[in-house]
Order: sequence, then C-alpha cells, then structure tokens
Amino acid sequence: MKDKGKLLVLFLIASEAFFFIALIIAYVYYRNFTNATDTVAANLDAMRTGIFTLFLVGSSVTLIFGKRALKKGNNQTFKLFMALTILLGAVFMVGQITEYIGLYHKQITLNKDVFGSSFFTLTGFHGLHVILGIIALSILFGVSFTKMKPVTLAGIEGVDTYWHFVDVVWIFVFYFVYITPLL
Amino acid sequence: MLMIKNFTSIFWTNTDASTNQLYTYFGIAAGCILFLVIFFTYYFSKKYRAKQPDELPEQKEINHKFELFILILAICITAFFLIMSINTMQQIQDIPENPKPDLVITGHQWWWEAKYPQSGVLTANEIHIPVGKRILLEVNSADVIHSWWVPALGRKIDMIPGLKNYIWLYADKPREYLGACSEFCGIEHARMRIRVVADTEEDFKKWTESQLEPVITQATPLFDKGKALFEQKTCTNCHGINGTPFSENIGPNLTHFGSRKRFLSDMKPVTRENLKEWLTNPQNVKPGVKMPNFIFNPDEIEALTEYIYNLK
Amino acid sequence: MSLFIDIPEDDDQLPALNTGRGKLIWISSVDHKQLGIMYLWLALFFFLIGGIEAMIIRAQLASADNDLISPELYNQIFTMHGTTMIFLALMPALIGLATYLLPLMIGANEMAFPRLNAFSFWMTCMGGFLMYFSFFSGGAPDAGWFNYAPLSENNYSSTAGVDYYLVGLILTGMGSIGAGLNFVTTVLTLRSPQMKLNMLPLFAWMIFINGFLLLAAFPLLNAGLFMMLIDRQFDAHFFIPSTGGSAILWQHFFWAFGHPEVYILALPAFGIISEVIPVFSRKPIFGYKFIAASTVAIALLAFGVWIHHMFAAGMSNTVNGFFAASSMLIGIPTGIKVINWIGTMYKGSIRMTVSMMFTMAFLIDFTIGGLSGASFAIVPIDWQLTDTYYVVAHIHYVFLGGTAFGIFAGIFYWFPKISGRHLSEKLGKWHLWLFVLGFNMTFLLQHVLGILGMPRRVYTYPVDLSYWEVLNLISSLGAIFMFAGIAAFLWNIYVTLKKPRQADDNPWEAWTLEWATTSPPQLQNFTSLPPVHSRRPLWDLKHPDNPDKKLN
Repeated sequence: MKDKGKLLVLFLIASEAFFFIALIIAYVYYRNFTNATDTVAANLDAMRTGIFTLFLVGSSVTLIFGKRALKKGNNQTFKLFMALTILLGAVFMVGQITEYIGLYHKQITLNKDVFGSSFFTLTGFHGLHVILGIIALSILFGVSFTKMKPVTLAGIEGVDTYWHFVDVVWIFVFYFVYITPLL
Repeated sequence: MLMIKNFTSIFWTNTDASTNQLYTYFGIAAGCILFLVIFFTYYFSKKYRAKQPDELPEQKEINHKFELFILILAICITAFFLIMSINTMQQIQDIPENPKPDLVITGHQWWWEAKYPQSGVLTANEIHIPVGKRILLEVNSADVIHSWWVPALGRKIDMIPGLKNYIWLYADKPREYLGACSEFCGIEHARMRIRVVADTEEDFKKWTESQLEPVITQATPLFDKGKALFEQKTCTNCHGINGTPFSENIGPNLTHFGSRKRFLSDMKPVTRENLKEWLTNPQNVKPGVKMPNFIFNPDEIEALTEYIYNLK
Repeated sequence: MSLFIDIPEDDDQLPALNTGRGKLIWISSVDHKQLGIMYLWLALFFFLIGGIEAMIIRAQLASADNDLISPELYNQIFTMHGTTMIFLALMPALIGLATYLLPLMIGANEMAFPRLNAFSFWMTCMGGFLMYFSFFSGGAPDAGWFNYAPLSENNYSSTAGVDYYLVGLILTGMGSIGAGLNFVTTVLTLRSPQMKLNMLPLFAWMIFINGFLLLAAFPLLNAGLFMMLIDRQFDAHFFIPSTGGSAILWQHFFWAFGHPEVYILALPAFGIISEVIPVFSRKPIFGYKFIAASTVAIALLAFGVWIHHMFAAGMSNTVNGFFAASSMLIGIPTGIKVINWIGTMYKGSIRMTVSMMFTMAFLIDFTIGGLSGASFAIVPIDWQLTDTYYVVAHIHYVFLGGTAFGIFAGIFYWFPKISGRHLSEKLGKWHLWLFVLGFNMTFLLQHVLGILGMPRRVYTYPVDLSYWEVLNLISSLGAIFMFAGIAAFLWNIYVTLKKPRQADDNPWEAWTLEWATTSPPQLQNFTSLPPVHSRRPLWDLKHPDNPDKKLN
C-alpha cells in the first residue's frame, strides 16, 4: 500500500503553492506600479527580518534532526528537537508581530495604500500558515509523550513536509519583499 | 421573404467591414463542421441501430490513420484562421505611438462624456463624428468598468478606470449608429445605450461651431427663474454649463442640452414632457440613477424645464 | 473461484464501516456512496433554484421595456443564476457522480480519505446555503458571477451581497480542493492491484486529471476572493483604481481560475460520454489513448488561455495574438474528441436508450458550443461579440448542451447502479425531447441577438430595435419547454424511487468494474474482484474466448 497520507500532504502543499504564487504576483504587480520600492527601502529592515528568517530556516533543520532521531528510535532527542522547532517557529512569529507593530507606529497599515494591502496580506497569510504549523507541531509534541501509534508517525511525516513548505514559501516571500527592492 | 431579406441585411451591415470577412469565412467553416457532425451522428444512429437486443459488432476500432488525418486537417484550419485573425487585428488596431485622440469618451454610471480635444467641445451622450474619416477614440472611465461598443463603427473596447484605451472609429454613411455599453456596470447597465451621429464634413463643422458658441440666454421671466433655481437647488454641484461659472462634471454637461435629440444615454427623446417627468422623480424614470429626487414643486419644475429645454 | 481475486484491505478498518446506523446516518456518513448521493441531491436542489431564477430572467426579457422585476432584483438574480449553476449545480453534480463512482470503477471500497470527503461535501453545502442567506440580509450579490472590480467594491455595491458571494465561494472552493485531493490520491493509491493507470476507465481518468485542475485552479480564485474580501472588510486597496489598486488584476485572477474551471466542468462530462457511447454501441471506445492524452494536454493548456476572456480589455496585439494561438490550440484536442465519439458509433450496434440519446444531443449541441467558442479565439470576432448574447448562447451550449446533457446521460446510465431501479425510458424521452428542443429554441437564436448587438446582463432593452423583441420572445418560450422537461425528470425520479428494486447488477452489459458488484452496492463495495488485464475487465470475464489485448 502506497503512503496515501504523504501523497495528500504533497498535493495539498502543491495547491497551497498556487495560492502563494497568486499573492506574490499581486505584491510584485503593485510594487511595479507604485512607489512601493521607496516605502520598502525606508521602512522595512531586511537585516532584522533576515535574522528572523534564519530562525525559521533553523527550525526546519532541527525538525530534520528530530525526524532522524525518531527513525533511530531515540525518543528523548526527538522530543528535544521538536521543542526546539516549535520554539524557533515561535521566535519567528514574535519577529513578525514586532515588525507589524513597528510598521503600525510608522502609520503603514493594511488600509493605507496598495503596498500596505499587498504586504500585509502576503506576509499575514504566511504568518497564519506558520501559526497553524506551530499548533500542529505542538499537538504532535504533546502526543509524543504517550505511546507512539502509527497514526502519530503518519502525522509527523505530514506536518514535517508542511513545515518545510512553509519555510520555503518564506524564503520566496523574503526574497521578493525584502531583497529585490535592494537589488 | 422581405422579412428574411431585411433580417440578413441588418446582420451584415451591423458590423465593421474587416470583421465581416472573418465572419463569413468562419461561418462557412463552422457550418461545414456542424453539418458533418449532425449528419454522421444521425446517420450512424440509423444505420448501425441494433437489430437484435444481444447483437455484438466486431470489437475493432476504426483506423487510427483517420484520427491523424483529422488532426492534421484541424491544425491546417486553425493555422488559416490564426493568420487571418492576426492580419485583421493589425489592420483594425494600429494605434500610433503617442496617440493624439480626435475624441475622448469617458464612461460614467450611466452616461457618456464626450470631449473633442482638437476643437475643445465638451458634450454628453449625443456624440457626433464626421463621416468617411478614421477617428482616433480614447476611452476611459470615471467609476467602474464600462465598454464602448458601436458594432458598425469598429471594435469594442473596455473603458477601465485608471487606464486609457484607444481604437479607431469609421463611419461610411451619414446616419445614426446605435451601440451600447457592453460591460456590466451596475443597476442601469441596460439603459446605457449609445447613439453616434455621423455627419457630413460640413454638418460636423457646423455642429462643432454651434457647440462652441456660448449658451443663448433668453430674457423671459420663467427662463430666469429656472436659471436661478438651477443654481440655488445645487444642480450646479454636478452639472456644468459652459460659459457660466459652473463646470462640475459629475453629471452630464448640459450646455446646448436643448439641441440634443435624446437624453439619459439614448433612453428618451428630449421633449418638455419627458424632461418634466424626469425632474419630478428621476428614480421613477431610471431607477437607481445617481440623480436624487429633489422633490421640486410644480412651479419649480415648470421653470427648470423652461431653462434646460432652451439651452440651445 | 480462481476467476476472482481478493482486494487488499486497508490496515485500519474503513471509516465507512464503523459508521453507526442511527437516524444521523446520512449527516454523519463518510461513505463515498452516501456522500455521492447527497452531492447529487444538493446539485438537483440548486439546479431547480437556478432554473427558477433563469425562468424569472426569461420572463423579464420576454418583451421590451418590461418592468416585471426591478433592475436591482434582476441583477441579483442573474448573478445568483450564474453562480448557482456553476458552483452549486454543475460542480456538485459532477463531483457527486465522481465521488460515487470513482472507487467503484477502480475496484476500491472507499475514497482514500473518507472524512475529507465528508468535509468537502459539507463545505460545498454550507457555502451554497450561506450565499443564499444574502437574500435575507439586504440583498444578494449583484455584480455578476465574475464579480468584476471595482463594481463589486464597497463604493459601488453597498449591500453585504458581495461579501456573502466571497465567503460562500471560499467555502465551496475549499470543498472543491478537498475533493480534488481525494480524487488524485484515490486513483494513485487505491486502484485494484492489477489496474494500471492506462487501464483506468475514461471517466475515472477524466476525474483524475480533473483533480489536478481543481488543485491548481481554485487556489488562484481563493487568493483573489480573499484579496477582495480584505478590500471590502478592512478597506484595503487591491482592486480599487481610485486609491491605487488595479481593476484589471482581478480579471487576471478570476479568469486564470475561470478558464480551467470551464474544463473542470467539461472533462467529467467528456468522461461520462466516453463511458456511455461504447456501452450502447457495444464496441470499445475509438482512440482511448488519444482521448486520455489529449485530456492532459487540455488540462495544461487550460492555464494558458485565460486572456481570451479579456481581449476587449485593451491589451497589445502581441499579447492578444499569443493567447489567440493558445486558445485555438486548445480547441483541436477538444474537437477531435468529438470525432472519437462519433467514430465509436461507426459499425457498432447502437441501442437507443435515453442515456444514448442524451449523448447524441451532447455531441451536436456541444459541437455548436465548441464552434462558437472557437470563434472567440478569432480576436476580431471576439472584439465584436464578447459580452453580448452570443456569449450567453455559447456558455449555455457548453455548460447545458455539454456538461448538463452529459450529466443527464450519466444519471440515466448509472441510476440502476445507484438506486437499484431503472428510470422510466418513456418519461425519459419526454424529458429529453422537451429539454433538448426547448434548449435549442432558447439559445440558438441568442447567437443572432448577440450579432445584432444585444449586450449581456441587461435587465431590459428598448422597443424600437429590429427583431430584438421577437427573438427574445421565442427564447423565453423555449425556456418553458425546458422547464417542462425538468418537471418530467423530477416526476421520473419520484415514480422510479417508489418502485421496488429490480435492477440487475449489470443491466447494460457494461464492462467496467462498477458493474461487477450488486445494484446498489453494499456498504463494502466489493469482497472480490474479477481480474483486470485490460480496459474492459467484465468483457474479458464474459468472453474468455475473445478477450481484449492484455495490457499487463
């Protein structure tokens, strides 16, 4: 029997990818028609977000280590790496929330102009996916204290793929939102 | 018989000449394909109808070379139409680099604003063009998306807020051409019709000159009362009249309104009765229209009608 | 019995089998057959609502300057008619048939994800009813099913109707994505062990490809819908040109979804036709490989043709020319499919059942729809005829003459399997002739109306235009015939469902696996399956002396 759970997650994230492509297209489209590049240069701190990006990438790495530990049957190490993954994801979210607060104080909001609209929609939807991922990881972390069932293992497999996807999406978002205006 | 002849003549004079050729070619090709499909569907269903309930034909497919033949044929037909349509496209839509439009039309919910940049004429709804000359038309919109379509004068073009689009108009006969807004634009989309008057060269010149003349002011008491009311009742907040201090362009410009044949985007002829009915309650005549009901009393309506009807 | 093989069972017990049999059996069901039936009822329900809306539209347009209903109401009704028919009638009908039949056709006992299957259904259901709630909250959406900005934005559409439209479509869209996920994973993982992908029945193949289309197209729509919802609820500026947004971007998102959507509605109907014609011609389908492969081509091309909905938007000749070429290209595989179907009838021995007759009506009317569709790829013709009644005629020839005729053919074909009873052929013929004649009466002349200059989405038209009134009147009369046809269909379903179950397992002597089990199938579809070596396993079983070519 082929692993249908894994297939499901793969197709789901493929479908999600189209969603994010649409949002990124909207962002880039508006940036090319307005003076958003100046706004980005003046208000977005690529360095700071870059550091938080490292946290998110790091969380993917810890998750890989965690899964490796699980395969070796090393449950304690697995739990440790899971906790670390959740923590790193949470740090990234803290970064994003503080960035939003900072922008709000500079009066850059969703309803200010098309840059605000497309920036907050794109990063907001990504943030939502990170939060969902953190919730799913937390549930699996909690479940991992009980006896591991096949369904838990399937869950870990699925959330693992999903988390890497969220990570990859962020790298694209980071590139298009923060890096390209600097080039 | 006469009816059929009339019918076909409408059919063919309704669209511009270069598209007509494509219509003909496509009609022939599509007609042949459709005939073959209907014929073979019908013929096979008769010829190969099962005679006994448990009859079994030979379990063989027809030759796949036939499939290939059809494929190649389809590609040839498609290539023909692609070349034809790209040629015609370039013929219809050859807009110069920095277009200098002869006519600028702005779509509003639910009326047409027409500007003639060369002469400076500004009018609404009744659009005049000279005959026998290609007119470069610029379209845009003041609110939602509209679409300019007068089939006999040329292609259709969307009027998109924030964008300028250009097409050519060409009238070959001095007559009136009908069209309509053909992008759904809200409640009164159906009543946003177009009437373009194609004038001979002299007539067009005369029309342009008459449009540029200042408004004729009559000195009857009723006219003056109407004029005062027009300013006092905030009509001027939306409607402009050239030669007066009022140049708002939210509603149709009313300079020389009395010289127009129809109003409300071709909905009704300009008569005193229609104007009175309109002023009594615009929402009754054209529900949803932007002009509110001012609840004028009959004397005021009389005076306003006298004023507006005589703006010639 | 060495003729039969056991099908492997999932490790976990099928959720369908642990469902309790209480009063809530239907609501709590995760069984693909019950969900499929519920999809079909839902589709029928909304088909009737959309049909009543259509009747109101035709009544309003029957004469010039008619004031039967107000323009506001007319706009709400035509918006809801389009949205309902596409998202709440045709899609649930096709997804319902697929949900019911896909596991049966590939020899599986369930969908890959039964709970996801139930989730998909209830999302669709909820989205549909939510949209209709708008009538009770100040007004239904009134900006058309395509919902062009900025007309659909707060400044120009002040009721909450469009918000209901957006949320409703997001919900049904998520349901459709769920269905797509299920179709794709089911075909990939749950096929009977001997069944290779090249042996899939064509209906299953079309649903498989359709799954990918659903997965790729709906996120694009959802992204657009979310942006517009954010515009309307949080005052963002995506599609509002006066504050820096772009009206045209919405059109790109909508049609980048909208054109694949056309094929989402067409491919399963192609699948049904490809099942029905061979069975009733008693011959294998002509050109299985071409049909299967061209479907993949269509699915890929479907994402590269959307600009042809926007030829009049003023894009450059280069862009328009490119999309004209791709639009013409996608017409070729679709057109040749018609040859394949007619070629299957050649030298067959045709049984003229109602199902087969609907298929033939499909062949003719879908060809008309396809040809009028091809005319839109010829850009200068599109520049004249887009957004006129010619498009209205075209869309109805594709969706009604194509998809709906396909669905009717499928319902008459699979009804014995689904319910254990045969629909009455006599009532079926009334249904067929009333509907097909009424349909052509209504829509054929609308091509002419379009060429004469009648724009679409108008609540009325002036009295003094030649032939408009008489053509519209004929069109409206035709709608009455269609309505009568549907009444015959409903009566047919009613009387049939009152009869006792008497259908054989394989009443049409068909060859695919869904006919290898009882009619209707038990909760567990199969306990054993015939071996699958070709595309027609039941033919091989019945004619061991003359089997199809082995494919494995």
